[in-house]
Amino acid sequence: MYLQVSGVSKTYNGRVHALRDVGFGLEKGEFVSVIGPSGAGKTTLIRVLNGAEPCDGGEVVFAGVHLERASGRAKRTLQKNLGTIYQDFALVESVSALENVLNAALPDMAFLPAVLGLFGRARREKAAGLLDRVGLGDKLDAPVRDLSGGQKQRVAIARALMRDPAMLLADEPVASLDPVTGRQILELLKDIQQTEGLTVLMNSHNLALAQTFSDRLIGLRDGAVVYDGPVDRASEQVLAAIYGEGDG
Amino acid sequence: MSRRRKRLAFWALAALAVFLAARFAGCSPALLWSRRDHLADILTRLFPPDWGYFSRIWAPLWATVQMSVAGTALGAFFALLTAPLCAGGLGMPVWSRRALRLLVQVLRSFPALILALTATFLFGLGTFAGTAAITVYTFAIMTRLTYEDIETAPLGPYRALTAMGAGRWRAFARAVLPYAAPSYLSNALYMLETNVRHSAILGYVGAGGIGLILNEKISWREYDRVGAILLALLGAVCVIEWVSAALTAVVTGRRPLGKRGRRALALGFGALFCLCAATVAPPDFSRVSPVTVKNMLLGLIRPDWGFFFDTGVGGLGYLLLETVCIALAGTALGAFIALPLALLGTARLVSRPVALVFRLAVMAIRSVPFLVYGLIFIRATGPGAFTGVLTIAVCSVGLLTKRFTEAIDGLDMRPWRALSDMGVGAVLRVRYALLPQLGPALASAVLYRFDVNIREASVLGLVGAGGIGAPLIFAMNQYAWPQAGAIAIGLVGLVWLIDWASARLRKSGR
Ligand SMILES: Nc1ncnc2c1ncn2[C@@H]1O[C@H](COP(=O)(O)OP(=O)(O)O)[C@@H](O)[C@H]1O
Ligand SMILES: [Mg+2]
Repeated sequence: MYLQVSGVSKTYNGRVHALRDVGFGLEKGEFVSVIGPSGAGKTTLIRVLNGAEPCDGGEVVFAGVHLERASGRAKRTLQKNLGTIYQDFALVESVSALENVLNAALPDMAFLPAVLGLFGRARREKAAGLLDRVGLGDKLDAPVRDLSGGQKQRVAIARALMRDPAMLLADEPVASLDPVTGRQILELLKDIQQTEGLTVLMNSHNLALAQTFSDRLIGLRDGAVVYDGPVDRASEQVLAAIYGEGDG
Repeated sequence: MSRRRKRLAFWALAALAVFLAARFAGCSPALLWSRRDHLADILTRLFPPDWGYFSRIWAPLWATVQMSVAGTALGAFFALLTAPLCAGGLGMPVWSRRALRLLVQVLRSFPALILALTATFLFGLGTFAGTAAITVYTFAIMTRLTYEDIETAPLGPYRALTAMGAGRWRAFARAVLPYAAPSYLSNALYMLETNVRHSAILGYVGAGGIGLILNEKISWREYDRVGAILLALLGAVCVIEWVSAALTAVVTGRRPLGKRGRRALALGFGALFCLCAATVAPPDFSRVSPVTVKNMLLGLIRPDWGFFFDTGVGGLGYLLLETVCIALAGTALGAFIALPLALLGTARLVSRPVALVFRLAVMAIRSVPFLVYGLIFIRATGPGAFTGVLTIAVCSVGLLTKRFTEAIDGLDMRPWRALSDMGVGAVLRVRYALLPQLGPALASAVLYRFDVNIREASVLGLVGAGGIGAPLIFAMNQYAWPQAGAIAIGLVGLVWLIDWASARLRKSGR
């Protein structure tokens, strides 16, 4: 297994059980969607996986390294191999698309050039190439605030790719986009995943989109895994278990 | 790429300007460092304050508060009457607009202290002169802020009312005032806050208030009593800022208040104003001679042109340049100190107790009247422009930190989270996720403060800290009106020039 999650739980303020004994595995090159109603713990799962939030118990093993115990340099090496995409894009609106992509190069740079913004030609060209790859070759210098929602998410994808990650974590990447744009973004994501051989773990509360683009679904409800299997076998019954009555 | 180049060129130029200004003002970090013990010594001797002395502080403290409340209220009231005449677009006569704008611009060029000194020549020593100075000072600033606000108001309703035959003033009151009122009231409250600090130094020129005993105790080196005065002042400033923050929440509609509540508030404030205004000591005309007044005006009409055009050291040009350099270097240093203080003073970035400690520290820094800093620094770095730079820097910290903190509280924190997820360290996160968003707000706060600092820098001379202030005050005290007139005209020109330049800078920055 490329990513192995076992027995992970997470409690906020000692009261809210966001994740309960979550376990699943991911093969290299897979596109897997985590589905579930809002409040199921999807975002928390991503935050635990990218090291933003410590988990209370359990193990996360990524490419043979224990993520939950990593700190300092080891943690940074792991974070370098993970790219995260957010529902709300999380871009600096007042600067250009190119500069937003360049921000992803900061952790690899020495402090002084990083503070002074001396990214160097190679990094600039790489960032420009990535923006071209996501279809924004003509928007390099446009301030992000002038871009549309879909274009912003494209910039965010380019930023995530800037670090040559082995795995992409996407937290509801199309939830704040209109259906047509959302579909285009997922097509781009799928295309990149297949040509680069990336592993993608995507959160979604949109079942139809998740079914169209993923190889596998993981169903989450009240912080626990209630389904883990192929897309086509997610029967009515399973969906009822995930979304069933008593929950929004 | 060319945008990047332009920005780089801008920053390089700005850095060069600040560096040259610092050189010209004789800034010497080494000197400050070598004399740091003197500073520490003075600071430690402020504590513990002389508690017994408090009983003697109340009367002058009350006089200070009284001058600021009465002066702010009067100045703001006159500003409200004048602003519509100054604003374009309301169809008011052109000649009065031009004349009033010129008057406001001229008055705006002088710090409260110089206005107070002038007022003592007209009304004699005492709180009446101080109140008059604060009134004029508030009037000039408030008129300008208010007419600028009025000019951004949508004029459709106003035109509709005048087209129906309503008089201009009535149409103004019904259609424009409701739009401009929140900003007018919160500006007035802000003026009240700053005026407390301004009133606290007016005693230096005999215009009443706590400044007199403050000056006395500092020059006698009774630092424990200075500590007591500063503590009392901090208390007064805290109370006024607290009240003003509560009132600002009401006037900007953040805290809704019923009709009755609003009426009670207005009544309360009216009563306070009447109390303050009624207990101001009446003017003392016994030592005022019409000849002095006539000579003052003559000095303005027939200034000393030889001194005005003197380009050597000691000439007007040199003194003005020194003033600008002090303000420039001081503002830059102040901004440099204020940014980290602001970042550490907001609960969005650090834990609540830490933020509270830093906010209190900034509040304390802000409550000390700025000439006190001058008098303290002068013990360490001696008379001269460098002391002026340090004074201006520390005085700028208060306002700049406040503005910066407000800007930080309005930040979009999502990129901060994204960079933190990527493993980017805190300093770089500030640099890349926060500063780009803060840029415009910081720039306008710094420009605004620079404008204020030009005026503040022109009273530093009072304590021997360089700039145009010393010659101006000497000239006034020696009744050398032609010289005073030349300096006054130079100061008006300088402030006007800075205004023009910063408007250009703002426009090109957008
Ligand atoms: N920072 C937090 N502090 C406290 N509770 C939180 C926090 N983040 C999430 N939660 C709670 O954890 C649960 C799971 O939230 P989340 O992971 O955001 O779910 P989803 O992304 O599936 O909507 C919810 O009950 C939510 O209220
Ligand atoms: Mg979520």
